[in-house]
Amino acid sequence: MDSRIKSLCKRAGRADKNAACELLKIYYADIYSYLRRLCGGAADAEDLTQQTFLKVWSSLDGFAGRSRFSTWLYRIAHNTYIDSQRANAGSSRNRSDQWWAECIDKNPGPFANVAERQLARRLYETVDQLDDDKRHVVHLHYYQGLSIRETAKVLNIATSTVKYRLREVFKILRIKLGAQETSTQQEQTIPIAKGESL
Amino acid sequence: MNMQKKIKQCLKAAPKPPAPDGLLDKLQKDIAFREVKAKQSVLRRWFSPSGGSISPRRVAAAAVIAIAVLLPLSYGATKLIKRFITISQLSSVKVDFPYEGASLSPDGKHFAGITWDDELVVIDNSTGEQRSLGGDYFGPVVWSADGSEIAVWSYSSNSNGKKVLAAVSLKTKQKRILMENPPWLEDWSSDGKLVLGVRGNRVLGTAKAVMIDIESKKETVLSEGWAFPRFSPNADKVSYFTKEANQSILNMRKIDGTSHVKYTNFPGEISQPLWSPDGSHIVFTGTQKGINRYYKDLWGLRVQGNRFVGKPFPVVPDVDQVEFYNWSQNGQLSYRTGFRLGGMFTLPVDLQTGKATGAPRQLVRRGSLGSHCWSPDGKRIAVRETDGLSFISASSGEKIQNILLPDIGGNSKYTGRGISWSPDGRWIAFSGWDREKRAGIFLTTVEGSDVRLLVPLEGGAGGAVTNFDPTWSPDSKTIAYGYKNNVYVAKVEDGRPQKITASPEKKESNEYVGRPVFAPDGRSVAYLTGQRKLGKQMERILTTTIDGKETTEIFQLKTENMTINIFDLSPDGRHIVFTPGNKEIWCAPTDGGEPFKIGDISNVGSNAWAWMPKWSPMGDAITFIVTCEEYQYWVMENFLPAE
Repeated sequence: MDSRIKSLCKRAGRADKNAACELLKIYYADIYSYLRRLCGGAADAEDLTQQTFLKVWSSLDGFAGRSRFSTWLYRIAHNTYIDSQRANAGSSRNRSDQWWAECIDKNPGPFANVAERQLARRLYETVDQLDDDKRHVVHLHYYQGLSIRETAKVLNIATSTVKYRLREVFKILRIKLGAQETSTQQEQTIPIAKGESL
Repeated sequence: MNMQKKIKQCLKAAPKPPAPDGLLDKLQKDIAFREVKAKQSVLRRWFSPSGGSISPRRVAAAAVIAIAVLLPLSYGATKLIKRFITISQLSSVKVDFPYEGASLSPDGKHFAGITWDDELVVIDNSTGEQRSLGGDYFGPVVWSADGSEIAVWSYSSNSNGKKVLAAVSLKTKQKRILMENPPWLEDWSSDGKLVLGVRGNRVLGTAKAVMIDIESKKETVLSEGWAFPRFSPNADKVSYFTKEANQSILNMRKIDGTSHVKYTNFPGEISQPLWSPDGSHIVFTGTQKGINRYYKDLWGLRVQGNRFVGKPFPVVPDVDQVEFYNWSQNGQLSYRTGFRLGGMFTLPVDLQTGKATGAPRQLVRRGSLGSHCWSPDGKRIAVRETDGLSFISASSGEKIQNILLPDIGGNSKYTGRGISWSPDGRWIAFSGWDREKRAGIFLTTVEGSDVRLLVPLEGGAGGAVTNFDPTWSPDSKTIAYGYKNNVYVAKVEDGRPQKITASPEKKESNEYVGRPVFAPDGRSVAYLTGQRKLGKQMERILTTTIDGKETTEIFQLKTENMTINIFDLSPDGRHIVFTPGNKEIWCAPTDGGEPFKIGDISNVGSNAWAWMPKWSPMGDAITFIVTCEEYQYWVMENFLPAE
């Protein structure tokens, strides 16, 4: 862990409010964007960010420093999101909102032409429609830039599971985006199946 | 740029939602800490619980505890430290070895196996370099003790092309014939003189474990059944398992037969006994029955001289999805883990058009799923299990009930294909074996209270060919089934069979007939027929009236390179659904129209294939089974508890 973060954590753990403010400034935007993408609504994301940091301050003295502070923080944010989902299990919530579309249109970034922007929009929408397990690994690993190991720690799963889910995600994305890429593997069939005897 | 890279780039460049103004202020105001407690070191608290000066009594007590308790414990600790289990993945293995036999070389540096294409492949575990030692090999692989050769099944190079056991040189790829007419290979002794194997007799349905002297061809029968025989490291003993009076028994005998001991007290099924490289232990997988499931764990048993010592002890829990290969001389136990991605899927369809109205959805996630059928009301699905039947909800896939049929199954893990629920809801017909090794069409009440053999039929070796595919008439009075290349019908009241398809002499050579499905009108039975010909297979679905007098073609497959693996009729008889044995599900009208694809499972896994489609009684869904496993290859060492 970065020595500065380590020292800030230590001080915040001893109830040093200035250190806590410093940590907040470093991480709040990342946590907000993580939750904002997951929730699909600004107000919900704001609430969950608040709840996340409340939990952080109340349990900071229990942070043993065995993982990076950011990993620990994401884990709390993730659990906060999961709790909120459980609490709202009955209500139907539209994950996908117009934010992606507006944002890409306003800030084209690396998506130079219209076709690429359309591809990006479809891609983000498709990710939003993935089942939760797969969606979470994409959000943490790609959107938030966590390593495979950190993603695994946040989700409390094995790194091999993260890799497996990412492979599955790519399979789904390739198919849903209408890729014409037909690998020889996909054509492969099990010989016994082809000619199973009667 | 390929699609995968493009997707990755887009995902990494996903726009970041900016935090709203004022959020930071709000969060800063929220900062509140719990009451901070002054922390004392554990030692300080022990020596001075009140926080004052250190108590001399407590210092003395600590010294006594250190000498009397901690020091002896530390000896145990060093023993524990000795058992530092290492488990590592052979990530260099990028190919699938679908058969049971892959194997780690004695020095642990190479991993060998047979691929889907019958190629013998050796992988360097450190570099990942993959070498083919040639094709046309099959079955398990066993390394020679010095790691210079691999024993494997092959075909003789002379004109008779018979099956032989060959030793393939790692260096030169040359093969030398060890023996002709080999058994299923299990092990090769360290001195290279003996081979262990299993011979099966398809006619009698039996198997026996044998030891063969390669030079003299002398064959010694060790036991009946698939006993998984293995040589001890110095090849003076052999271990294998047997079953006597329903008890699983671990055997150890000297190869000259002068000593034979048995361990008879294991409370479960023993399988895959393997020797440790120093010959001091045998590990085996033990399967025990719990309340709702079976538990398969790895167990160990000490060996001293010619006897077992003590009781079996658990070594690694829960090895259900693990297939063990070999325990190499360098101390690594190699194994394969399978990730089961398949199971039962459901596809919504429109009964009028036969077209899919949505994508396939996974209903049950499981490997090795067998035959299944719908209940007449379309609410439940019955699944044939090795020990009975299970019932699942057709809407959620949730398991509702398990019914044990203790007289069914025998020793065979293969249940036989075909299960059908009578339209009146009372009976379920299925093909299989019973404990007395009688094969045929069985009937059971839905509660499992009454099980009977309706039509006794001849089964194949070890329960291998009991694919009778029973199917009910709409009035629940007659069953049709496939048997020896013909379709038969039998009344439930007397079980007397009547053949409805043509006699063999009237059929063309290589013609096959089977997989019957009763037509919804109850007057005829639909079945698959075709001819095995090189290049082109002409497959048709015919219907024959139950008196055998009239036969009509309802579908002919004209597409080249496609076969009908399994099919089912829609409840109105206007369509058939069939699986060609790949990732696709097809539908075809029975009035001569063109077939069309209705489902695809490409996203499930590269090795996935779909089969056994079943049309729901309401006609609004089709279930099918997906078989798909992905493998990883691992080794573990130092896993036995310290002495």
